[in-house]
Amino acid sequence: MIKNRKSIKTNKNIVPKKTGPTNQPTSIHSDLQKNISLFKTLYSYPTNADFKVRDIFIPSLQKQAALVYIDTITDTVLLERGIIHSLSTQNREDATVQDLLTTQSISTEMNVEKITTGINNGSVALFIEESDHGYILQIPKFEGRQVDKAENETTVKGPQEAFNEIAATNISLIRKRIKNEHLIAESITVSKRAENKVSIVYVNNLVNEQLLEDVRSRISSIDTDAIHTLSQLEQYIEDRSLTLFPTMLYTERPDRAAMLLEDGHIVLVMDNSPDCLILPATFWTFFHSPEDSYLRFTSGNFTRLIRILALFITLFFSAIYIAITNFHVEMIPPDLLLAIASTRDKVPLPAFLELILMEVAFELIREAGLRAPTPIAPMASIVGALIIGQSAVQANIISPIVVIIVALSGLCSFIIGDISMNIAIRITRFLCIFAAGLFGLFGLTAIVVAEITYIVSLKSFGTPYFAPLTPKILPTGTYFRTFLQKDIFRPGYLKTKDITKR
Amino acid sequence: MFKQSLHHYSKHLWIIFVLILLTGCWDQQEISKQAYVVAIGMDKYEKNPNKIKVSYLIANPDVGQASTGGGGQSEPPAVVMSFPANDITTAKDIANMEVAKPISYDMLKIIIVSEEFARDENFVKWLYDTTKEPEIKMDIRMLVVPEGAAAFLNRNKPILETRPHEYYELILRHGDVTGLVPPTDDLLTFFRIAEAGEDMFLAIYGTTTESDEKHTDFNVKAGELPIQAKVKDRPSYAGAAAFFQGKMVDIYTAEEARLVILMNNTYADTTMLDTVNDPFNKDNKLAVQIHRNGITNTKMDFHKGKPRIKVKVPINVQIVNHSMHNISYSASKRHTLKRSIEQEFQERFQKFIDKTKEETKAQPFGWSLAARKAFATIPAYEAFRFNKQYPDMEVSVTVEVILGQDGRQNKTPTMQDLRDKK
Repeated sequence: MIKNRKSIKTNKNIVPKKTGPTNQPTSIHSDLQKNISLFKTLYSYPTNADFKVRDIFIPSLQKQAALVYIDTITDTVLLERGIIHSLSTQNREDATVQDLLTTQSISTEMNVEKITTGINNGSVALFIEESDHGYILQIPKFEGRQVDKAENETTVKGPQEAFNEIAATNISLIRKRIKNEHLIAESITVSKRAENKVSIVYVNNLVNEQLLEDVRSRISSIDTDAIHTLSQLEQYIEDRSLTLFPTMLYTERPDRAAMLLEDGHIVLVMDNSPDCLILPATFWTFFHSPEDSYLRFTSGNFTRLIRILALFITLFFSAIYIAITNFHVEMIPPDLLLAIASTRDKVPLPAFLELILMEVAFELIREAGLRAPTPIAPMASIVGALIIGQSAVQANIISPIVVIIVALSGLCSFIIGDISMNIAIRITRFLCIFAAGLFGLFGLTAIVVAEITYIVSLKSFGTPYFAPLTPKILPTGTYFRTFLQKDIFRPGYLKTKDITKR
Repeated sequence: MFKQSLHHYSKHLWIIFVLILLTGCWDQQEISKQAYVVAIGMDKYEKNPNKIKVSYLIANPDVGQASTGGGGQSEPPAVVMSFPANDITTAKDIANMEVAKPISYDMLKIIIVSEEFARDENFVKWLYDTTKEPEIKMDIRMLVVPEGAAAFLNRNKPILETRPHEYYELILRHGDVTGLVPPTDDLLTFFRIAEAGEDMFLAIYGTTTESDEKHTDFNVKAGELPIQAKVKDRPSYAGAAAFFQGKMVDIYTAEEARLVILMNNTYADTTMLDTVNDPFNKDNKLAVQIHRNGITNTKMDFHKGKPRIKVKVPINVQIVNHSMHNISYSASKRHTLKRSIEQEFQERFQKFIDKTKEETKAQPFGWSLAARKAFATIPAYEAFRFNKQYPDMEVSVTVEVILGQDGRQNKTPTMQDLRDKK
């Protein structure tokens, strides 16, 4: 078996990746029947059930013709009304094919490979007797969702719509927000076999050319058969694969994308991804929410303050508890000290193990709630709440104060919305807990210094990860936001062509 | 490539792992696996002068906790144990002969010393042991009791508080606010003053015994106020134990302690309630709220003739009880009252200063610091020998009373008005 696999692997390198007709003619024939049989063999007709060939007679031209298409990805209503009906019922002399058809996009093509690509993308190929070129009529209809409400990044105030899995819709949602001829949606094919396309969206009189070139070269240097989603693409083009922290913002909100496009960022859009990738991203991008700027100045900054607080609670609360109760007892006020000592008295586990047990239980419940099918998910949380909240305390396995600490820091971790950043913070929290459990506050301090050094060393497409806080690059939109009227500069670290917003 | 980097990292991981092994001195202590000493008592040990009698007040964490997982309501809130020991550090291990958990001084609030022990020449030597014990914080307070520390701890049944740590915390905090006991004087200050050897340190004075000598007003020491309550052995705290050069030399009443607080700039500005003579009615007293207004101005004149100290104490006075005089409405009444209070406080100060000159031959006002300013160099100051000269110095105190703003007061009728209507 293993040998076989290896041979397949080596074969792959020898055989050209393109599935094109290697021993087939590269351009089509003037004989209709030969063309039809060529495409029938290409598409393994009749095994391939949704591949269709429709013969048709065109009275205006007095010629036999054939329509070749895949009926699951073409708009059959348009096919019937705009193509079959127009071609077979009209009888005008001196009319060309273009005159007869009412479809919005028609192109002529001789290359078999290109015609195949057209058919694969939902077009209908029209071959006419005694003609050495085919016509590609674009009437694709891929099934997908409607534009839905944002589910992962919800806001109370502000637009509710979110991206869906159709790239065209997503770009349309962005264009709805930026009605400008300088908004460019450039398309690049990233994979060899599945031919997935990525749209690089940017505002061409803002974006930093060097950054754009970097993105283009990273995408075009990908050598793989298939990349179906942006989340996979992210892993191909990110700066460091091993890093804890995400270096690209993955958002489902078109308003966020548009806002950042206007700042000079680059947005990647792809079919099958209900999100977009925004780059470069700094630490603060993950920390901010579009609602910050929808809310009024005071309210927006209050929510940011809450978010900072939550970040610190989720990172350090459990760790500080462990450090203080194990190493620095003298720091606790006497009442609290005795309260902790009293409830800890009957717990058989050491404080560190007790906390780790609860943290792991919390992570398990969270994961179970996430993965369980929707009808079962509420049960997972009820059982979890019972185990953690009630029974563990009553059975003297866990002290109540640990429940409070784990619940609070767990709750606060949900406030960081981005899933990659959320996981990064959770991993960091465990590092902090271990450091505090081993060396108390000294260990905690050491790990914080190490973490900050690490974060500062990161880069996202050439942008320092902690910018604009460090290195200090004005304007500094980090902890708090400024008044919209005073927010006149684009982020300095993006080096945009136009620096001011007015 | 990836393998190489992993190999590279694994080296670092090994170094970190070795570091963990090297740490060795693990001072990790489970919070619930320790016995917390709230108060330490220190007495003379009669049988052996090289030992002291150490008393521990150990808090029981289980009492007063109404949470799930806690419990043990029938247990006593605290345990007192006394035993002879060489010093308070080894005392920890001696106590462990009876106490199951290791003794911790992390929660130590107060050191209680018997008066007899405090007056001992070697007292300061024993107290210096506290500086070598890392768990004892230098901001803990010192209480001097006449009946002996062990007796005090055993008899001390506070009226309303069950949990001992809470009791000591509250009583210390409130003592600071009322000025009945010297505020904010901790161990660190004790050592600093003892080492300088020129000023006096005031510790809290308290007792559980009732003195036969009964007084009213604030001119009392602990145990002298005739409070009647059904509970026996109530602790009371009033006045101060004065230490000079690390040895207790005198006991001050609450009023004397307050005079020190008013005059000595190193004490925080404390607002206290007091009574002063009523200038309009000889038999009556007026209730006032006083606090030092800014800082006391001390001028030393050592170079011409007899050494003189001139002190100007600014005091802010707020009349609490007008005693139907309607003082706020009359400028002349205000003036009379002001003069009267100034006079009274000057007399109080003068009396107290004379007492310090005669009895202890040292002063608790922190004047040695101000005296240094009168000399160009420290050797010149040392040659002057401030302490030797103090009893012969001429000290004049002027009190500057600033009447506080009363705001709008409701007018009270005069006594005559009331009687006439009848």
